[in-house]
Amino acid sequence: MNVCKDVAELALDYIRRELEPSVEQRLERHLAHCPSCINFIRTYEYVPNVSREVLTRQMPESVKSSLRQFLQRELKQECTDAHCSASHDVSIQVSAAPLKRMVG
Amino acid sequence: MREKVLMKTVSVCEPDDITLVARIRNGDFDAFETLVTRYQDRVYGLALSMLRDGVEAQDVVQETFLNVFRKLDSFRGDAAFSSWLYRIAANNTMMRLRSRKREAETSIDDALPRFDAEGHWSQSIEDWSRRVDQRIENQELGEQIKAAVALLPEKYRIVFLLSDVEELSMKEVGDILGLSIPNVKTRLHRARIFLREQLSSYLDDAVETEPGGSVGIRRLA
Repeated sequence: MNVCKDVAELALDYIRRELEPSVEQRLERHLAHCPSCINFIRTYEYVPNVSREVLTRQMPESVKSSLRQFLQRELKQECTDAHCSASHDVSIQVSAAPLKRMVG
Repeated sequence: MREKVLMKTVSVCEPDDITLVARIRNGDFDAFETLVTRYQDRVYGLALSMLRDGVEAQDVVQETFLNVFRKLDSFRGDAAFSSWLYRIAANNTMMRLRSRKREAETSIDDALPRFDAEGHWSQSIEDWSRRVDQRIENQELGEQIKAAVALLPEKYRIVFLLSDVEELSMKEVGDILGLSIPNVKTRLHRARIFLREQLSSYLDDAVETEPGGSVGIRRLA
């Protein structure tokens, strides 16, 4: 291996340290004298970091409240169904309180 | 990987997922609420990044947790609970995407790097990672990243989000999406290459147009 195309194709395995040792050594010999490939690896490796930072989101509080209300309504409904077991029924009676508190 | 992270973030006082599942099966609804609280942001983030619609993302979150509660008896514990939950969330998200009017997808091949006949880069590659580090708070850059991810074809986007944003292992992603590990790796690699090219294009332009200052705007989509 001595061309940039190989580095691009093996970048993921290289970063994850999943290459055969001999292949990794050849790749690193190429990297030692190829600034573009080093820059490629650095930026390729950087994509998940920067994306994670931007795309990791918190649900808005209003949506959290809606979710609790939705689940409370739906699961209560299930417990009023004829096929719902008695123990299940009790669990929902017990459980409705914290949901209600969170909804406010 | 995510499981390990989760174990670190869950304090010693908080029960793990399997314990919570057992409690829910015994009728403890507080345990269900703990699970909802633990995973709601991740499910929402995944759905929002896939759908780019807050209302639809909210619907997916609701459907997902309702499905989780209803189908809990079918969770056998062979895989991590988080994988099982993500599979439900991914299915709900993909079903919504399929119900939409089909839009022309970006060809990922067009964005792959170019090489000369001898296999060398057809143009020099720059390292923009430090520039991004300095500008991550820049809202416009954040929007560029979101737009670039949105340009990814769905089958690459879901793999990228589960692997690189949610930090699930290759095996977990494969289990969730019904893909082999080599297939997951191929899709993840191509997704990263695509995003790297998109960000390079944006950041290179920004430097050319504003050599001494902040990042300029060049819309990806």
